Amino acid sequence: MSAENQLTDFTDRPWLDPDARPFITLQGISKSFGSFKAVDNIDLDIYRGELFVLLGGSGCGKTTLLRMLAGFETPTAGTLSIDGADMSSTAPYERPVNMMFQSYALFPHMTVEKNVAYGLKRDGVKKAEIKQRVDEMLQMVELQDFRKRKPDQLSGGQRQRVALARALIKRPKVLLLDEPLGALDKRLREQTQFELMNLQDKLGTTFIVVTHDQEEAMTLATRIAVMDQGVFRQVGTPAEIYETPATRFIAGFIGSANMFDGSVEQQRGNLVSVRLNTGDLVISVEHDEPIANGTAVTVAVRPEKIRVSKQQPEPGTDNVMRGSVKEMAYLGRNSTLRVAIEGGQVLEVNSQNRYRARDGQHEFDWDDQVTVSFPPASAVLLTA
Amino acid sequence: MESPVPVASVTTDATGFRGWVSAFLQRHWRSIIVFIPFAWLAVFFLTPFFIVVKISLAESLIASPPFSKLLEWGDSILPSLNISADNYAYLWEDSLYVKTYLNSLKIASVSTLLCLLIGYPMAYGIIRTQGTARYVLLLLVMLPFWTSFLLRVYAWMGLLADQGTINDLLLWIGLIDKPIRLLYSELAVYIGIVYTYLPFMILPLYANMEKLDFSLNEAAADLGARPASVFTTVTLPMTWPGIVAGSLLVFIPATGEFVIPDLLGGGNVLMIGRVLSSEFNANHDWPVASAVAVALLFVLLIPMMLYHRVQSREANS
Amino acid sequence: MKGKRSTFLITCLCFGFAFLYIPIFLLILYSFNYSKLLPVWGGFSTRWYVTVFQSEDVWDATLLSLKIALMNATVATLLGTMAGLMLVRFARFRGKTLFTGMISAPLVMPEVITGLSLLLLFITLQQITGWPGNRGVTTITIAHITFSMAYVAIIIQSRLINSDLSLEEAALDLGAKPFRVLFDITLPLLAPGMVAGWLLAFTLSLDDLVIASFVSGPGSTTLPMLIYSRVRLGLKPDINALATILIVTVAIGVLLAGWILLRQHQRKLKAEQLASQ
Repeated sequence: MSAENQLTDFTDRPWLDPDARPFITLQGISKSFGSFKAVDNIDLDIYRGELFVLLGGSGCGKTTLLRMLAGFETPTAGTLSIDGADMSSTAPYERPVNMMFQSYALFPHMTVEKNVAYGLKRDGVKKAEIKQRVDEMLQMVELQDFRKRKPDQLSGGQRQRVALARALIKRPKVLLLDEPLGALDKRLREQTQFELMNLQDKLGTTFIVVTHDQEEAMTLATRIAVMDQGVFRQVGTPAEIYETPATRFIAGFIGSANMFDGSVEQQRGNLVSVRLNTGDLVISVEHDEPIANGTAVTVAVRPEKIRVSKQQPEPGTDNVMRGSVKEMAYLGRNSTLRVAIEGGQVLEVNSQNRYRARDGQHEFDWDDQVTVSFPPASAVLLTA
Repeated sequence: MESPVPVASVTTDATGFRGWVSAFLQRHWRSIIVFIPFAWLAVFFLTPFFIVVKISLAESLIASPPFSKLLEWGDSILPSLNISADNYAYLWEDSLYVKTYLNSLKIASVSTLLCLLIGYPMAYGIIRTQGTARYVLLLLVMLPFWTSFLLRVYAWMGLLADQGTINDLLLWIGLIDKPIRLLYSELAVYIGIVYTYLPFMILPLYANMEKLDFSLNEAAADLGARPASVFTTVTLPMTWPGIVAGSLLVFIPATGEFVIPDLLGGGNVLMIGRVLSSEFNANHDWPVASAVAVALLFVLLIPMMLYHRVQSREANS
Repeated sequence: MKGKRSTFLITCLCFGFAFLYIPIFLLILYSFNYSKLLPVWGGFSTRWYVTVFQSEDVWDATLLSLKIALMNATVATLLGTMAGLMLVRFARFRGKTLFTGMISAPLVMPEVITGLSLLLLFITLQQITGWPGNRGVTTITIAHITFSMAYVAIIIQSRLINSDLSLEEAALDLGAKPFRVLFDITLPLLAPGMVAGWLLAFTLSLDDLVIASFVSGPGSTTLPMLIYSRVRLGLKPDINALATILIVTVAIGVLLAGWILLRQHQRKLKAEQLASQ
């Protein structure tokens, strides 16, 4: 992960470049509603051209943060600048920022065309230019044929595209998207995800997306900030957040993870042995930083990184545990098993269905005695 | 709910008077929107109320008509601050007034209850109707609401008269052998109030029931509740806000009702609205009329505040 | 079980609507009665309609009432819309609680109190400032505006509460200043509410007897005042004819409005259905 062994090509990862100038800077941003702290002392740099995702559950403060960027909420403390200009007390109608609302907020009394043209009209752009730019924009979102329709005569997907066109037509420096795909059904959502990414790539506009959907965040983002109770729990690329979660919270929040609580027995090189609190088990985990013996830690392993087998593992295999299948969910491509291991802990394990199940005969079944194992490199050692 | 946008300073691009006006509006439109209706209500709603209170505290003797005497009274009261509670004492001591207040409250309460008993199943019946039929029924409730109150009261004069439709019908059936007195009785007043205020009961009930989730009834039935207990444990508690709003909308104006007791009750039914009016118009006793008004307002203060609370809670939910 | 319940409800609806409508139908029926003694049927006739149309008093009162109702509805809609906007969209300010109370109080204030207090105000004002010189159209209109604006404010308030605040935010976001947003977004979306408020204020004014009686002066008799003075002493066949004309006019208006709204609603449903296909 360190930048030293890479050559200095930071075009896709400006946040690693010590010389890069951030495009959006938040410093100590807080927002309280009465005694409730919605956003609590947040610092963040976002770079030009990023597709930055704010991910979190409802009430975590992500929408409040977005609304502060748009100018609908005034921060209680802290400063906010976009492209070098301080925006802390700039009104929304004077910010170089546009927003796509969760409800789309299309003006119901205006046609598609008028909705899209609205922002340009307010800027006093000449009529001919408005017409040309609206044409271009409608073409881009493939709504040329719907220009005279009112919003209530459009389908959900079409409305979403009008909202997008309306927000993009002013060529904002930053586009804010509040749950952009939340109102679409699953199939349309997956398709639209890629359309959104292509569009962002083509325009090079900085996108900031708010979502509660982690799959959506993983698909879209250059970087994700996981938010909880008004603070960032971790900021990083999707792979960083999934593969090296910083805390138990992140490991549990993104995807699912099996967590083993224990304490450090010894560290040899980058291998740490952890004695678990339950049962008489010692597991080894790769960990680069030095860690003192006796430290209370958690070992997190993703379900798909655990091998499950009915056979005895070859000698020398690391982290082997015996157990029995307690529950099984057949998902087609793979199956999710719940395996109770010695000591009583139940692990979630994914098993690829490499063979066709016939007559209800699966590779694994209830109460099968199995062994599970994972290499030390597949697990993460967490201290928080 | 608050508007999140601070009003930013506006640059004046246009010049001259029009530019000045537009800049002024841009900057101060919020204050203007608050000020105009506020000022209107302060002058034409709040001030009159204080004048009524002031006159009610004056001496009857000085304030008797003609008009010009009011000014003298106004001038003389300022230096000496001559406040008197005599009018209120008079209301309290004269058993007629106390009786009238009590009678008004009784008539209003009974009428409200009757409206509720008739209106509740009607509102519920409309809600349980589907599609266009529901819409038509609702329109049929709205229609009397929009037609003249006075004419609807008048319609009952024809029905209730000695030779009116109801007496004709009863004679024809043979239930009675000579016309009975229906008009100019308390019964006529009850009928008139229930009739004219029924839409005021149905409409808030309907608005409340429209939000009901009938799967709750099914859930209760599924859990073993019989229809009667589904009603008392689910429907009734959920429609309570509508019941309170509708009842207050009938009770408050009915207490101060003037036209119905006048036209249908004649001189036989004592109601405070009529007493106030005759005290003012016939007896020209302004201080007593004002005291009657203030006392009526005092009686209705609690229901009015209750209505205000229901209304603002409904608005905030 | 279910059948029995709905029979009960249907019976209630039938009796309820019979109760609401039979008096009105009889009123209309007797307007075609030849006999001058009203409850006695003397054969079909339209002569009372002729009487009504020839009566100068009726024409004068009608025109006066219409004049007042028009002015009232227009001003009350303006003031009520402002008040509604303030109630929902504006931040708390000093005196807002007082204002909220003042807005909703006229809704439930007994008419006799409103009428008496406004009359006393006009008299006091006249003695201090000389205005209003004589009571009539102006004073009645002012009195009507005072209570009508409360109704308009309530309608506007409920529409604003149910409307999506993000529409206004979207306009701000696209570069419209707050004052511009008011005219581009807020008011157009409020238009149906304003129309409803206008119509309600118009009918309230046409309907009012008690308040108008208090604040009117000699020579200005509104239509309800005229009807009242005639029917106080008993039934009048020409009033039945006049009532029929008024009721039928209102009924046509309400049904027409209802029909238009229903059509709009159906068209919208159809459009949504088409769009989702």
